[in-house]
Amino acid sequence: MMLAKVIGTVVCTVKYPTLEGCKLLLLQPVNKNGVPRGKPLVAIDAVGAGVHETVYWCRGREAALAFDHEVVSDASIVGIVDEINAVADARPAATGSSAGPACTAVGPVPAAAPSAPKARHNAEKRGRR
Amino acid sequence: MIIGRVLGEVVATRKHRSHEGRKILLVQPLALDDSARGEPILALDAVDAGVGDRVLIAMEGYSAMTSVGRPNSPIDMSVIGVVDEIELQEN
Repeated sequence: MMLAKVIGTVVCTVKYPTLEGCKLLLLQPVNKNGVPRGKPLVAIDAVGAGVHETVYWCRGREAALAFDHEVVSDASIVGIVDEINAVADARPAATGSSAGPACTAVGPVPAAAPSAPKARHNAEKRGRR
Repeated sequence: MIIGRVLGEVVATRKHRSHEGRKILLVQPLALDDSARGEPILALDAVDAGVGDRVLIAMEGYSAMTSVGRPNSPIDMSVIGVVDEIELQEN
């Protein structure tokens, strides 16, 4: 499963019969700090989520199992996140370019140096997407 | 399967009924040198792992849902082991 933020709804008048009554939501995958990661996608809601909520979703064959009837879905929202209780990363330097400005402001220079190539690599990856 | 480090737990009051009674762990996938690889994922806990543990993660539906005892449910990742040691033989 992955974290995402609900950023909108999708309405389809004509749709596959098993999708009748299903709510289609637009998700933006996010990291644990709520920073957008990757491309938005459409998921079917199994828990009654709404716009602006942080949710977790699953993908693949399992997504179709979130409903009582057979639904054609490859991404389903299966939980609404209330709280994330996370400790600091195992290797803070290797993750979260989002925390970059804060890290450089408070962190010592040697600690920030190893993160630079990784951050650049991530930025390039994002650019390619 | 991949190796990851448990960063924390996620609390969700409203969730699919098959997820009730199981911890939802926030897990950072790791490279072999213990550095982070990609973004953290959410996995249901099948082995009572704790924060800070290095764990084995099943990333496929059948094994994930079977390991937490919830067949035919929307579960695509689960923590199926706590790693004690990795012995890497490099030539």
